[in-house]
Amino acid sequence: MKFYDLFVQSDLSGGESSLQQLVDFAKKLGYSGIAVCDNYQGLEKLEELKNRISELKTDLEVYPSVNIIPTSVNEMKEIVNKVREKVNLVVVSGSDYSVNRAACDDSRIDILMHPELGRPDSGLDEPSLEAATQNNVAIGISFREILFNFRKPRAYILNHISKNLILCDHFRTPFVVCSCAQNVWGMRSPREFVSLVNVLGLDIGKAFAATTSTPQSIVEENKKTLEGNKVTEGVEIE
Amino acid sequence: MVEEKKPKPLPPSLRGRRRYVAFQVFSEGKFITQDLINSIWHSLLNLLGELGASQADIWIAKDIYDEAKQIGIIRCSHDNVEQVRTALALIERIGDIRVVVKVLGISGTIKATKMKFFGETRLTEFT
Repeated sequence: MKFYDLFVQSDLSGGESSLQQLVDFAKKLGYSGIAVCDNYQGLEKLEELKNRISELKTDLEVYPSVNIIPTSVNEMKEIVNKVREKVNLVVVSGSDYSVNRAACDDSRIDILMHPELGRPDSGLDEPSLEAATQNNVAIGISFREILFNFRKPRAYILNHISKNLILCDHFRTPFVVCSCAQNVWGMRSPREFVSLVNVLGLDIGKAFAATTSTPQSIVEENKKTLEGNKVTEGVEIE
Repeated sequence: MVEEKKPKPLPPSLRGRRRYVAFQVFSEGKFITQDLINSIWHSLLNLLGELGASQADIWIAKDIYDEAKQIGIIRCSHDNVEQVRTALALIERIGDIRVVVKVLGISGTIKATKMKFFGETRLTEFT
């Protein structure tokens, strides 16, 4: 079984650990691959990230990705236009409902991360989830938000995440669990993420998919598209 | 010295079904066993509450914890294994030291846990 963590941040985004440290620790924890998802700071920084990934000494799969923290829907679309063909994964940090909804409507986006962040509700509704299912946009659960909140705020966060998980299950929307770690101490073994999803209300089989088959299918599909082997949905060149 | 009388052990059919969770701690510094135990209880109580922690039937094997390798065993009831795993994942630091607690695996007895996850071998294998 291959496990993936699709959101880890390196020192290029203000994280503490270097890429090599993150990769070595991910290997110790049992991951087959990680996506280094630094915040979008321009195309030059993106090239720097890709160069640093190519210099790594590891047999772990490491995917360069970008995290977009948009202040508006137009800004989000502008950045997605620039980066989509340059990275394996495009992640949008959710929170504002209009951004959440626009991300679910855009098939170029891979993951909508923490749509519930800072909100009094779960951040998603029926039209958003139906759109996400249709456009294959996965809903991301950020372990960092749970880890660094306590008592009442943590109870609210777990409540919103639990609601989103049950809705994702109902609407068959893909979802993934990511550490969103900014250093090695924020990473966790993938089996612990499976336990978290199980504890929040889904059965173990579906919980496993959040760290194995769902992230694996996202990275493999995008790899085919970037290599030019996939023309469009359902059409591939062998 | 008079030995304290203990209750008679229950028959297997009336005993609770238990699981032994083997774990390893990765840390940026050294810490003492008692601090680790306090952190584990703190995380369990925060996540499960007093009632949930009581139903999980937790026992942290202080005598088995290896300070050098930072590996240990927690006993819990079979229904609460996933909750215990989640609580261990939510331990962020022990005192001021940042840690990552990784569950190595689950077993039904302490002996099997030590053999499978701590690399201990049966003495009979050498005969």
